[in-house]
Amino acid sequence: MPRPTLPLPDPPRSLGSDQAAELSGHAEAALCRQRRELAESLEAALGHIPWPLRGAVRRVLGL
Amino acid sequence: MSAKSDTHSEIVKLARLLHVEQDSLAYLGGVPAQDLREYREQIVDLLYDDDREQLSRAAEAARLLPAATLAKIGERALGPLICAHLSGLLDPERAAEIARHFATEFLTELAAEMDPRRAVAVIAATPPETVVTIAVAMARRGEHVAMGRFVAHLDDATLTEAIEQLSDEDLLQVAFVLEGERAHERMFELAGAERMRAMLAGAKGAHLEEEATHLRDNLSATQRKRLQAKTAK
Repeated sequence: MPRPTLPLPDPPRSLGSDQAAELSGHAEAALCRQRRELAESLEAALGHIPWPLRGAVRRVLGL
Repeated sequence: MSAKSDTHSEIVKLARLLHVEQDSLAYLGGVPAQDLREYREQIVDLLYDDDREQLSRAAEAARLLPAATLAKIGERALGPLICAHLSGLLDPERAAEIARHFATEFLTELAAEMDPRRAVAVIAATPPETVVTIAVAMARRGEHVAMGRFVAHLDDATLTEAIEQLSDEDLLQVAFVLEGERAHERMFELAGAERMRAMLAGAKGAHLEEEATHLRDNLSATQRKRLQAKTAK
């Protein structure tokens, strides 16, 4: 899976370094959670696709 | 307008976006609202563009399958988050066609995760009665932040119907996180001064005083006078 497309944004400048790191940690966790969900969901979705179309869908998805 | 209240509103929105408790972002209380808004917009770009390449291929694959089949796959396997991201990449008419096959509960969860930058076209292609049903269901789930994103995209008739069906408490909470230029003023005009007075009067009992102050502060001077005029009688 091609990643990442964007860097984590810089937290607001008025934050101290500890708080900035904490906020970035939340952003990174949200991104990781979303990536994990995407990977698991796409794999699970293939099992629900009617078999004559499964190969074509896999090819389109690049899986 | 209260800077503290604007900042708190932004913290509520950011917490929802990052799926964390508001209390865990309490240290942002001293950050100007504008800085938090800009940061939140960058997080939206990050989260909704990160999976764009792969989901664009999934959207391409979706063209091979009938809407009912896609809805079944979406509901049983993909889940609301991925479906929400996908919906922003599909042709809006196609997205609305697929959405007609979803159960209301699933559609409600999906709506709460939709890309706020691309939701307008999908909402426009969705029947107004469905939009209102989803709005009420979202309120029941406490998804006021997501509702606040979409208000600006609703036409007057749909928004008026939604306002009529939502409780005063829900409207106050949506108003606290409302997005869009002059969105509070528009809400006032569609709800009417009488409903607004009732909402504001009941805020204290509902422990929503900050929300009420935020709403009042975002009304025009003329609208605030209209509220006071009746109060003075």
